[in-house]
Amino acid sequence: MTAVEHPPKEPSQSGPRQPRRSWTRAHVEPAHHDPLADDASEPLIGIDAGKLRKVRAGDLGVRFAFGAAVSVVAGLVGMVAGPKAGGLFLAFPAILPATLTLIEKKEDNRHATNDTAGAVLGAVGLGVFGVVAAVALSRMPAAPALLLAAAAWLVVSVTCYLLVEPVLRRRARSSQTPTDRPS
Amino acid sequence: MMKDLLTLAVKAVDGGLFVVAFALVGEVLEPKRFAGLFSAAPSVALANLIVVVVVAGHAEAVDNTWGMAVGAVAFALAAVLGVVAVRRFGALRGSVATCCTWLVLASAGLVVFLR
Repeated sequence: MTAVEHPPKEPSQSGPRQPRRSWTRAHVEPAHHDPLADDASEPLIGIDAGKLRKVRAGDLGVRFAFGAAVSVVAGLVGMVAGPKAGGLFLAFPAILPATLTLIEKKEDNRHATNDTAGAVLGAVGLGVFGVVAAVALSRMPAAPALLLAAAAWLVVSVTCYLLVEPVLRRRARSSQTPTDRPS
Repeated sequence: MMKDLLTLAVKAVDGGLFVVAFALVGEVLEPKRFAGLFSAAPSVALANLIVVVVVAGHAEAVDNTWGMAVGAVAFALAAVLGVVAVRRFGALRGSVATCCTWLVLASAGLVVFLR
């Protein structure tokens, strides 16, 4: 990857003053790394099937347990307080603690933060799933209705991601400031 | 009573399996922000709705989904706060804070929109 140099920003633009260092490498090192900024070199969407080999049974067991627990809670709430209240818990973010702690343990906090940011976009799609499912279940059999709702979740979530991600990467690139100045 | 317990047991196994399936999909996706979409996948919702439709019919499933739509809005708002919380306090405390925020927002949503 070609190294890129950027002119140093005025001190007022760069936030807290950073200690000066001499140029030792001919590329910009961000003074403050934004954990929401994925590396610009990463593709927008990628698949690495090899990661499946690294998945541990214990990690899957934890996720199974969380999924089962949420389902039981949603069912119990529905029995006690009605189906709308029970449905509320179908969107309870109980999977997040398991997922994020596993990511933070295997990788780092930055990746866990990025996963949470992705969950925001996924939750927007989840809302659309709920509305589409509610309308579709009133008009067609369950199988096509739920498939349609799931497709709506996927399309909306991925669209939101494709709209937001380039903006976040542009913002991360433009907020990079040199920590070194030429001597 | 037995039917209710059996339904809960089926929902539990079904919900767990769907969560594992979506989690495996999320594992192979990159970068992490894209994989994070699957942290909010309708895995539990799909699993439970299938059981509800079979056991109780479409009407109850429709009520479930309206509740879910309100819960999803609470999820999105809680996750926005969660981004900051996870960054500052770490994954465990940050995600617990996100869940607590969701409980507050979802309760408000239940009172305002679902009564």
